[in-house]
Amino acid sequence: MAESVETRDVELLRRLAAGDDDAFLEIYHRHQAGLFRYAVHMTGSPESAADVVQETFLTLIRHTGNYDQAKGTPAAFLFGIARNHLRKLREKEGRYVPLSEELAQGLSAGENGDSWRTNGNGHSPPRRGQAEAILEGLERAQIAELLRDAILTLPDHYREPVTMCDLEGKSYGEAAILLECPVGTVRSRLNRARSMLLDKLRPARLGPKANWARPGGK
Amino acid sequence: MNDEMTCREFDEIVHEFVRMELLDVSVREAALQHAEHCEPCARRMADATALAVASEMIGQSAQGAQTPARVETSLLTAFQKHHRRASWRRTLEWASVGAAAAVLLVFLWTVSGRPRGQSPSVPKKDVSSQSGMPLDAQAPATSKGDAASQAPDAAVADSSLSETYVASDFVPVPFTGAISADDPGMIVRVQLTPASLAQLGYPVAETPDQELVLADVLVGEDGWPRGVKLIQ
Repeated sequence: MAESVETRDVELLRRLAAGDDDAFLEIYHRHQAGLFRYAVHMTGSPESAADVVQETFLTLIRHTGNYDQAKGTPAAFLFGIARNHLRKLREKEGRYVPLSEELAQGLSAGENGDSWRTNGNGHSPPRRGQAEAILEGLERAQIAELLRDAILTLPDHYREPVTMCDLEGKSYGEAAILLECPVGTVRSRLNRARSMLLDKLRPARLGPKANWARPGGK
Repeated sequence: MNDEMTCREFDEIVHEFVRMELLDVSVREAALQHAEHCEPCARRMADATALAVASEMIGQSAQGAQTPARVETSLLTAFQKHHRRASWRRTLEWASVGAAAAVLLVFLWTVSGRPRGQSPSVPKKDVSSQSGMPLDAQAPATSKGDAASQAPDAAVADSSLSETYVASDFVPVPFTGAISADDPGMIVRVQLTPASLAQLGYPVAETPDQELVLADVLVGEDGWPRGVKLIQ
């Protein structure tokens, strides 16, 4: 199935290079949504994401001939272009991602010595306020909002696997193809990123206790 | 590993465990057993679950997101413009190649067809309306003085090169400036009425009336006629 998708994409790229409007529209419709969501998750801004998608396809129009089938799939080629544009966008804007107020406060508390430290057994020693699971007491929507902001604070190489696997539901293998790195790298970065996210969210605990997050409670 | 899973080991697998990505049954059982007896790890598991649920929520909320329609419109326009330009570029490239090939062929034909030892013929040049002398359309481009002295010889050479240049030499058009040796002027063959010939300063008495006359007009770089020469 994946192979036929790739074959179709390669065929479309070939026709696109010859100036076929329909081929361009078809390849655009096949990939724009995935690229847009990826860019939204990476930038936190639909406007910037739309710009990234536009720049990605403009690059494709101008440099269709740069695609080399031996180096990867057309989808990976497009994601590679999008990643480059995201990198340029960040360099150009020198942007700092706006954090929600609660998360910003929580992070600054963490910087003041309240970070998750591990003991020899891999866990932090019990401290005041840690008797409950750190995300208990938050509404789902609240957690989602905080998580969205926390993801934006991750370094790129951690944010990318989180975006692809946890938000977009891609397998490790699919993410590895798009990120052009080994599956093991995706896996280890993802694990590390998830732990970082928990650490970032931990100080944001608010409100009354809620048990929705218990295992099996979803 | 069953009973001996440490908190560090638990920490390494907890996210995959709650997302059901951990398929090894024995490891799953060991993790569950560890969480039952370790309160911090049980909390860690709850947090990891909350994180997984929140991630799923974010993913689902963005599921229907599409790039704004204006992007598609502007991209399609850019695509068509790009390929129109590319098509023109290709056409121009081919035209350039064709022109270069034609020039090369003419050059080769000229070089191979010319009698040995004869200098390349350059039509026109060195015409002065001030001199009042007949102008030589086939004289090689040299200085004005040289042209005046070489005109008779060149006129002889003309007749051997082109049988049509037999009727007369160029007659300068009155009240026009001199044409210099390096002026890349050109000769235009036209049909003229006797009246037009008279306007160009040609002695019309020498031409039959009521007939169009075939003539070569020597035109300077500025577009003004400098000399006229009858062909028949």
